[in-house]
Amino acid sequence: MRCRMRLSHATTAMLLYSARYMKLLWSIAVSDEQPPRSSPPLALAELSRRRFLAVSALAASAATSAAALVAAAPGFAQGAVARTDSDPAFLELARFLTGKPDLDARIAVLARQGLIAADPAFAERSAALERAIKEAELTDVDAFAGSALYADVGHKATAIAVISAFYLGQVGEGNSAKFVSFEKALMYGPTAGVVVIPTYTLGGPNYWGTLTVPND
Amino acid sequence: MLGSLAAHSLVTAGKSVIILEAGPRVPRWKIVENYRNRPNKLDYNAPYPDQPWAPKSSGGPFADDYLQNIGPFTFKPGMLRLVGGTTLHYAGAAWRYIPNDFKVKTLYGVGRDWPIGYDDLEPWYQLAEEAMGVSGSSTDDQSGQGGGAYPPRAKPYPMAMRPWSHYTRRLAETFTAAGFHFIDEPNSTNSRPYDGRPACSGHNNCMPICPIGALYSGEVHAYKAERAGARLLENAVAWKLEKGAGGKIVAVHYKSPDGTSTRLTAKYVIVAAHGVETPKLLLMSEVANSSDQVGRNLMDHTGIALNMSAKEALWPGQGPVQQGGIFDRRDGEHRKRYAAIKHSPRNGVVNQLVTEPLLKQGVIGSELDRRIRHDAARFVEISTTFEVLPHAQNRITLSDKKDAIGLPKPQIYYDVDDYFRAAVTVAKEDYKRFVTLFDATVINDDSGLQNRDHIMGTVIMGSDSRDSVVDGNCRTHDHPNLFLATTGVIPASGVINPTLTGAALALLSADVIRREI
Amino acid sequence: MSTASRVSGRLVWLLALCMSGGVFAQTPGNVPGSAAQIERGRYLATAADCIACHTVDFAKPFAGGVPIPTPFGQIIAPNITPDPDTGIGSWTDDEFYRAMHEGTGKHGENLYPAFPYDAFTKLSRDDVMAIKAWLFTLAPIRQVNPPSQLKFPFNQRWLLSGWKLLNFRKGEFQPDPARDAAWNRGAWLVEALAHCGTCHTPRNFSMGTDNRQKFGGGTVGSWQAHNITPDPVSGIGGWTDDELVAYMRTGTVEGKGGAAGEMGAAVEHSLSKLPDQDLRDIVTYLRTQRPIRDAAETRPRYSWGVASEDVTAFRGNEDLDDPDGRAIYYGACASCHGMSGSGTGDQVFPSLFNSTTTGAVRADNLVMVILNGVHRSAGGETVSMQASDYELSSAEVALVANYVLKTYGNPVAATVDAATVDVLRRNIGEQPLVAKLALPGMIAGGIVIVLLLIWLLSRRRRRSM
Repeated sequence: MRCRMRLSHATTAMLLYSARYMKLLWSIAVSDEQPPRSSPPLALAELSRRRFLAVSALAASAATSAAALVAAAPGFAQGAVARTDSDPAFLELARFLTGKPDLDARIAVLARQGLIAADPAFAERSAALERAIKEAELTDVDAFAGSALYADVGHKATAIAVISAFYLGQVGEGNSAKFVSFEKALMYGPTAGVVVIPTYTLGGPNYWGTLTVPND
Repeated sequence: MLGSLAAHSLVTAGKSVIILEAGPRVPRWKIVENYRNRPNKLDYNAPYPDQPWAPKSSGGPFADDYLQNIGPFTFKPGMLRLVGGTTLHYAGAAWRYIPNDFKVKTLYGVGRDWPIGYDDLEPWYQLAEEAMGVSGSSTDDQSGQGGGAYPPRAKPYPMAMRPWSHYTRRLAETFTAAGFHFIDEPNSTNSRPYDGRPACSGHNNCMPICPIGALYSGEVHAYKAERAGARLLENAVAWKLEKGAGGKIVAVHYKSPDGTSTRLTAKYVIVAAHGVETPKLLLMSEVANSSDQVGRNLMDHTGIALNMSAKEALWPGQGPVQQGGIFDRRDGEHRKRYAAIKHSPRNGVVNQLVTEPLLKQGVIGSELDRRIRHDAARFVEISTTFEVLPHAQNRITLSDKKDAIGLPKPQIYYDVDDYFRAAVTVAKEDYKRFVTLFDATVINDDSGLQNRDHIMGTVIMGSDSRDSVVDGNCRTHDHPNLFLATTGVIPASGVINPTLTGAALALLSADVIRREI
Repeated sequence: MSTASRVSGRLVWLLALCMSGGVFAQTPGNVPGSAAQIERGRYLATAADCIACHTVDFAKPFAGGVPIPTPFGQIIAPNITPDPDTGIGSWTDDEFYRAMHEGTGKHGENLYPAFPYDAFTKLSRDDVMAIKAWLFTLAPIRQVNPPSQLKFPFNQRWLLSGWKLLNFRKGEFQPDPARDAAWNRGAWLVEALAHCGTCHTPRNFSMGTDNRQKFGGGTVGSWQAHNITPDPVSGIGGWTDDELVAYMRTGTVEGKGGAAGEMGAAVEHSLSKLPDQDLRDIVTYLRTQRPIRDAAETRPRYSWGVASEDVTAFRGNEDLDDPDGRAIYYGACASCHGMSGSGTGDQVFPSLFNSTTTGAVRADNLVMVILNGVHRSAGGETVSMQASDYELSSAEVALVANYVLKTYGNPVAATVDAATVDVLRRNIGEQPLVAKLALPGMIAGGIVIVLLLIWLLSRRRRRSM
């Protein structure tokens, strides 16, 4: 395998504090189609420190890679499922629908997982939307918003579901919602630099006291 | 938090102290990360541990089935079970009651008077403010009448008030121009480094967790007490107070997560288990209830809210999540007819609140980004709270349902009265004025009644042991060595957040105990 | 007496003297009891940072009681308020001068060189008297401090004679006539008053300052005092004059680093209060020192690291039951230092890359900052980073320190383990001030002398047999 594999693990955040046996675990494999700009791949040595990481990950094909083999070691929870989550077509669709060509592939994996969990038919719906957009030869999301395609109830619902996942950083609502992202949730973009992403800050103590704000 | 303050006060006075905490010890940084890693950011309980042996009030599989509501209103206050308790997610409001709040029966013919007055509590308010680290205005008339500094205080606030954000300033200017009295909220958030904790830097996440500890919370004194020599036992659920000779409480029994029980003896016992769990423990133990008032008189500052979109770009979300409010109806003759009212603008980051409806409307593309910015800059939420009167039928009892270690779940009946409803009508008239003042579009002016997490009355304080649970020192009438440190003792709710009053009372009780041991 | 008039009549020297405020000149500041003398004493005591070691509670300034930890026990700094019983109220001028000049106490006993009389000996008697005059204007505070707690034989003050023999040369500062006034004033400030070398020069085998490595970097308790020679890699060669002055004035320079621990305290109580020209003269003098390179350092400390944003990669995939350094970083550090380690735009929360603290080859200062926090007021800014010594275990501190070093700093230093943290941790709360390790020096020196004597005696005996 010449291409590098990125391997990471998720535990449902909802159960983080519950007893260990309650943990629902899965592992995901993502191709390195999009070289990370800043974060180096986790070294295996680093990974080995992590509990429940009795998992070895092997294999992924090159840029298109949709394949990953994940072998569960003894003791690994039954619920752990080898998943095939990286979907370049979905990533392309998501980048088109959000109008963000640099949308991170790793976030797209979580988004797609959440969307499929919420609607088992999502994969077909998104594939259909993707085909329709290509056939309509739409150049960007604004063109899509004004097109007949967006007037189609089904396509519109699919598009909003995808866009919501990336903007809100979650799929669904309430405590059953699925996590997608936080700091990279696109809803924070339009106000960046004016208000904080909660838990982060834009300045030192009391910095807001003398701030002038934009009038838009 | 109140127990931590009392424990710290006693251990630093040289007493031997054991603290039983039902929940675990979770470092702040983990709560921060758990918040970031989870969906559903609007549930402030969500990032906190959901343990079967000590359920919180909501936000997890165990918690969601914990409080058993049987009344018309679903009483679900934020309530956490871990070291530090529920003040890990509060916004830090640190108001004192004003003198009239202590005698509403005498003055206005409603509710109950306190057995103590403002002057009795003033020194303890000061000590509580110094312990917690409160920043506040030295000039505001906190009765909301636009007069001089009030209520009277012997010493200034430990810290200067926090600077107002542009949003708070513009709201204050607008309300003031219309004749309202908008005043600064005294707050247990540092406006400068204080007690080894940093000054607030506007992370805008007081709820559900201040990421830097600039906002005081109960774990500060829990750990200070521990460092000073107190023993802090975590995951130890007190479930029975054992009565002995002379009406004294001789032992506390606690259960561990595996259900095993341990007996601890003590000369004095302080139950500081929040306004819901404290009466539950007393009821389970069949103590302190000769008056049949334990669990009754449940109050919250049940509230409503107005969401609107102002014409002007005001930019909420800079600085801490709340900074002040309109207090014109905090006190006055109207309290004979309808409840005291407080309006507080929320200054939280609103991106999720504005983005969700835009997506539901189908706004996408560059228009979505434009509208998020536009709407976020103009979102105004006015959170309104009302005074609530104590009624015997609003109560916490023991449910037939049991939790994972076999203890009964709290059963709650809660409803509001006409005194309350009359005030809601007045507040909604205010809302109409607010909308006009800001040339705003209403987003929602019919929120329905909301929880405000200020549990009071459930172990009510009074001078008569026949109709109250504790005396003015928070000592139970029935047991000379049993004290309660909880806002549940508060007999008259007023309209301000009760935390500081609870803290002042906890320090007062600790001092009484210190002098007796 | 005027040092200047004694030394040199060179015009340039005198001119420069006038410019720099007459440091060595006969001034009204030398008139005993005059307001000018007292004011000069205040200035000198500030520059000498007396308050650092002699104050525990700032409500009781100079009442002493600061425990200065050494490997041999704790030295307790004495009360130097004019209280006659517990302070120095009964000290005569001669006694005070002898203490500053010779390291000898009121009753003729050797003083522990934690008190940097090896620097203060270079002060003129007039200046020493000015310091005394100012100290005697302070409110006398009656405070009995516990005695120093040193183990035998280190509690034997006579042994200090050995240390003095090896490491102490008494004598007032002599300006170098070949140098200009700025340099000479800088030398006087650095060598006599601010005693920079006490921390920034490493110690030799007998724990005296190792002047072959002068300003090459030393230790103060658990803190590393960095190399301040002009070396462009290991020292301050890459800093501009303005940056160095700003650092001493405010404790922080964007793109270079911030002062914490003992240096933070030195900035707060001493350097930030000095006239601008003093700080410039200090720079002038330091620029002329012999550059010293640490072979382990391949590029300047402040040049390490880049912004890095791991957030995207791990959100939703974190194991908080068994956290790695990255999880701790985001939970405990990133709220202020940012999700990319860049700090805030105003740099009140500084960048973690391009930082002397994370770019060093040793992780000590980073670990100490994590454990102790940063508490510094200077230049109108109060910096407060909360201590994490109670919240984080030593293993967690090691994890997060290593993560920060690998991600934002010098990865060579990312070898911290829990045991390292435990060792550094022991100084928390015990060493708030400019604690010196001169004591061990004197002890070691004393032992060496004793051993030498024993050896000599035994040789004689053997010969005589």
